[in-house]
Amino acid sequence: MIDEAMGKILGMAMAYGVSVLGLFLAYVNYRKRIVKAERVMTTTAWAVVAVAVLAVAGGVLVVSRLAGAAVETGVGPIELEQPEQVEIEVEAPAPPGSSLADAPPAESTRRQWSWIGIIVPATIFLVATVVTAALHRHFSAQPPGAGG
Amino acid sequence: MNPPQSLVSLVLLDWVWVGLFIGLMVLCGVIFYRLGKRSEADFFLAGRGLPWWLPATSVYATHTATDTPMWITGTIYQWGMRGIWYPFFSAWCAVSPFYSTRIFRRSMAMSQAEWQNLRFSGLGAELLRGWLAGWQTFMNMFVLAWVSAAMGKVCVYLFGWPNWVGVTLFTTVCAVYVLSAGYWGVVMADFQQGLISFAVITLVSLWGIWEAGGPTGIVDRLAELGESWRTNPFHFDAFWGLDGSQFYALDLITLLLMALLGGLGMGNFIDWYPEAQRIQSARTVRDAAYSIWAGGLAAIFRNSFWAASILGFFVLFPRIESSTEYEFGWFWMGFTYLPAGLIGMFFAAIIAIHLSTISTHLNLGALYATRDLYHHYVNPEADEQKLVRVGRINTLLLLIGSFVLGLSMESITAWLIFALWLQAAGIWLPSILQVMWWRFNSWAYLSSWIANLLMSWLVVFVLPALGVLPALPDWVNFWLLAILVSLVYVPVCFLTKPDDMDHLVQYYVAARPAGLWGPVKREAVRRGLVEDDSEYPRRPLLAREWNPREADGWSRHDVIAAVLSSFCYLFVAVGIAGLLLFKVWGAFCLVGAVACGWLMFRVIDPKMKAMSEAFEGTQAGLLADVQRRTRWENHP
Repeated sequence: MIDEAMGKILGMAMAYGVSVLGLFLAYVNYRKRIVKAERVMTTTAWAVVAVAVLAVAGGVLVVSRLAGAAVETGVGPIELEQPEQVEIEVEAPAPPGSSLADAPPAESTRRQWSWIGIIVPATIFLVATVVTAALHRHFSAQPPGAGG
Repeated sequence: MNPPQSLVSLVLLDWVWVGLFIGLMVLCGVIFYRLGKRSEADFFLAGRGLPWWLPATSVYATHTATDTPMWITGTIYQWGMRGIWYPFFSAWCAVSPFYSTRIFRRSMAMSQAEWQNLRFSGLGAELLRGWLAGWQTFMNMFVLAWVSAAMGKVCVYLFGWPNWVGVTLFTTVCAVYVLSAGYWGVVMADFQQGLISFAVITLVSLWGIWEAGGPTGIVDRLAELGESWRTNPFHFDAFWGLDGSQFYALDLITLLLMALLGGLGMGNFIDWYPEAQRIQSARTVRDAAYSIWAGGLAAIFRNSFWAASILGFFVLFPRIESSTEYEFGWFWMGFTYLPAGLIGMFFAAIIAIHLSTISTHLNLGALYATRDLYHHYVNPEADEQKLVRVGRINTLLLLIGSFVLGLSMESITAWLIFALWLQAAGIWLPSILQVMWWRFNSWAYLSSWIANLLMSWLVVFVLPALGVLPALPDWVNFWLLAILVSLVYVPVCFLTKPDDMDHLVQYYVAARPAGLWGPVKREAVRRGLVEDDSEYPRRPLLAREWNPREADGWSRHDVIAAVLSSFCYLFVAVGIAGLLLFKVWGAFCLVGAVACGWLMFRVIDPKMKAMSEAFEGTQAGLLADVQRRTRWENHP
């Protein structure tokens, strides 16, 4: 399992990686189709790519170090577990209304069949079926590509 | 993690309803197979011919995901009725129908990435389109993974099923109709799923309120607990402050400004992207506007029902400390109190809200991958059948990718969902400026996106880790990021050239944006492409007859409609919840909502009708231009 800090870095790297791929496709197409350039990638473009790669690699390195440091020292938003508190909570008697486990079992209600459990779903089901059929009939009769 | 324990066991009648409803939902999508395969516009926009109520239910259904009830339960349980303001961001749908929706629909862009290419010119416009297309393709996969993971958790909690079953089973069912019928299947199934989920949410919430002691019982019990403030949506701890555990008036002001002014922009919120698809699938500008307005309002309506019933849950369990436990409160009420049969329908509704979100993001991600990456960049000459085939392949790839992410990288999806909201801050104002101000160019908008990447990392991750910044409340984070990012895009805007005037005029004639567009408008008038609307007579506020050319321009009617619409949303948000608790102010608010809604309709509908009729005449020509541009045929 990937830890939280690495997950954040990896997730953002993937999201922005795919966006940068879109940028690259856009640039290549613009050069080919609009500028009609013989060389798709200019020296400046390569320089920008190199700077961006270095910046991203540096950023990832710094952030991963910071994340590691934050976890080790307990600084920042990445909180360490506090086992003592957990133990106290477990031992203390829970007041009523502090857990869903306090609720009385409702199995008896749930097992009972009732007309409402048939009539309400059946009505909604029938209406949905009729509406679906009507929609299909209506739109199938329309000519294709009205606006497309 | 604790071993899974089953909260609920369904009886035969429940399973019968679950099976029938799932079958109907899938069938509803699949039978539109023949329509979906006709063209790229059919596979992704249902041929741009839908009446407003179909995309409206789709907007509502998409706004309701599997984790939405858990999120809203969590906020109401923690904050009381004032927690209703956190999901109020949907109120951008109150303003957008009268501004950005209209502009986007008129542009005829198939996706938001394509719109960037129509609004801006040159290399910057192309880079923006490529950037957004890549971002949206990947983000939709992440949202799919996130929502599927939420469904996995729900199934673990309710039935004790293994996580992978919940993650993959229902998403796979959904893929059947998205793959076969594309957006036709999505929107038709959404209609049905929207109606089912709306009915069930209303039923379960009312049932929960009743079981918790009824409206007066809940209010009395809150008073006994010394928690009466929980029924007040305007209860603030102070006007402002820096403690994240408090709710300040500035939190509400920030949320309202973010939502309502955000309606003027495009792309401020992650919800904009699916709604942009619904806007373009509507048959007229009027239908597009009403679809967004009604869908957003239904979401606000739903939130209020949830809020009242969660207060009922609170009085039953006022001392739950674990958020993972109380977030399931609304589910717990439904599964505990409903009788056999209705529980099956309840579970079918949970599946419905899951499927509606999944289907939207499957089709939307495939739209960006197909229209913007494949069609525009890889194979501009592809024919319609080829594009539909590629659309299906992209849908399948997104599905597989989402399973991999949802099952193995939950921490990543959790972070990215957070990052998505966070990024709304940095690009909030640029997303408005790109619509309202002609001089805001592609380089400024692109730089705001890139700067936002850096700034959001700094503000919420790097600087707090270094101890430079404390953990800040949401309203401070929002404004801090907005200011920091503006330090980048404002200089970039003024240091780079404006977009090409010919291109801007072409865009202005098609989309007719309002705001700071004076120089472009004057140039369009000078070229004889649009009429000078300053010479038109001033129409009465409740005018019934509009000249189509006059209706095409902007007037005070649009502003007044947006203001009335915003008040309608506000009154509904507060009024429904208040009325469900038998509060007098709830009834007054609802009367106010009806009055504002009626007046809004009277002010704007005649104008909308005339404008839509006029626009229909020019739509085919504009669409042909957009198609040529995607195929690189009419670039300057």
